[in-house]
Amino acid sequence: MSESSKLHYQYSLSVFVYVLIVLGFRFFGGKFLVDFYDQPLKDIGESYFYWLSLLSFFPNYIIHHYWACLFVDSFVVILPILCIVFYSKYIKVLTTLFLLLFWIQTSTVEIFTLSHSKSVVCIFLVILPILFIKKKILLMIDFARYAGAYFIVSAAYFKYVNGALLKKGNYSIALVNQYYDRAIMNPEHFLFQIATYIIDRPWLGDILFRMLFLSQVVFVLTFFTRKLDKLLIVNLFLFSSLTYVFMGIYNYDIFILSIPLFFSSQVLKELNFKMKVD
Amino acid sequence: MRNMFFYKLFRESKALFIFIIILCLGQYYFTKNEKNSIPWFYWAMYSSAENLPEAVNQFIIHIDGEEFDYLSLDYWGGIAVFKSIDKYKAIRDNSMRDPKIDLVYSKIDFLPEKAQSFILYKLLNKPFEVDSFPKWLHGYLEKKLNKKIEKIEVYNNWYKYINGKFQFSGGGDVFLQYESTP
Repeated sequence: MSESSKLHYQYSLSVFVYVLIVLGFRFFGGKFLVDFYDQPLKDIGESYFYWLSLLSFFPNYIIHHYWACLFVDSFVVILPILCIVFYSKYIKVLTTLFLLLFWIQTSTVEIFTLSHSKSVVCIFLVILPILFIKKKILLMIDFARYAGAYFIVSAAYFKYVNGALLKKGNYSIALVNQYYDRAIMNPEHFLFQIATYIIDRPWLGDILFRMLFLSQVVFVLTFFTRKLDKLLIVNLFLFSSLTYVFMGIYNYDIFILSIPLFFSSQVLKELNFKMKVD
Repeated sequence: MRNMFFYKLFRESKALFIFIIILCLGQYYFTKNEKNSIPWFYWAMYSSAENLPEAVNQFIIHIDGEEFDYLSLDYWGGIAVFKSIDKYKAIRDNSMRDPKIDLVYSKIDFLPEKAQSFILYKLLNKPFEVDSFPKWLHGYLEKKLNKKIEKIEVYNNWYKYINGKFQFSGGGDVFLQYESTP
């Protein structure tokens, strides 16, 4: 097995194991199609791709047929397992099928839960390189690394230009707005208790928000060096976990961006080697 | 230069280079217009300066006369229940017309009338779908809570934000009600 084939295998294995973890979160969080079978209301959201999906027949058809919901849900879980088991022979076909079904499941469930998460883009971005071979997979992993870093740095940039970063006490106010439903319905909930502690101390909120900003802006380093990539993975893990503790938001879709970071130095070594050979 | 990503990409595959350039241009377009459209990712959540609310509107669900905290459902279940009830109310308050009609229409007004009607029919919620929502909600909650439910009522309450606390200030009218038939 050549070095780039080995890398392709390790990368695919890591991605699909992580995808299975994400699907586990979704299953236990109630985000499978069978959960929303026959839901009559929908929301198109902002994404034109969701608009196009709805113009086709599939989201409406699937949501109103239990067997179709079950079929899509089951195969979205089975396909990553098949990708791992039948890696050597059918990885490209199975990955393409998985991407297609995952797209169908995601767009349908988001249209009919009326909630549109954007971070699912990260999952597609990280899976995409598996469809390529030899030098192209190296370049695509590198692209996923740069694009992921861009997404995270842009989030920090908007916090600065849109005013959240510089307004005193803004994070505490954001928490009041974020948690008003819990404040009314279940003020004893532990997430609301944490939020209340910060709301009562706006200075603490400002410190936490600046730390969050720094944890995002630091990804700008990926454009200059690969030496800090492993540290950035730890940083991304802390970011993804702490957004749940402080804001009740799951960010594990975003944590998948740590996979291209993890393979970054191997990718560079292989790329340089292949460029020399060429 | 030889170490630059785009240089390597161009040398390796012109098609892949063009594909990635298209992705980058798309990202630029959607970021500039502050819009989201998968596969692009405009990530600006919690980036704006926020203000304390004067009052908020909160739906209170009663199941068989008991107040029910829908956030105690699983993560996406809670979100979906809230968003669906919000949508149901918005459509009813808008004389059974989906409030997204103006947005969709503004994007397709250059198309022939037949195409417009087709798109509006496909994208927007229709009155019969809105009418069937309370029954679906009843079934969904029965499934999630794993118990028989006889009656669901949803109240629309208003709360004022006074001295760091949300205090009931009015409303209390039921706008969604469903009773199961024995």
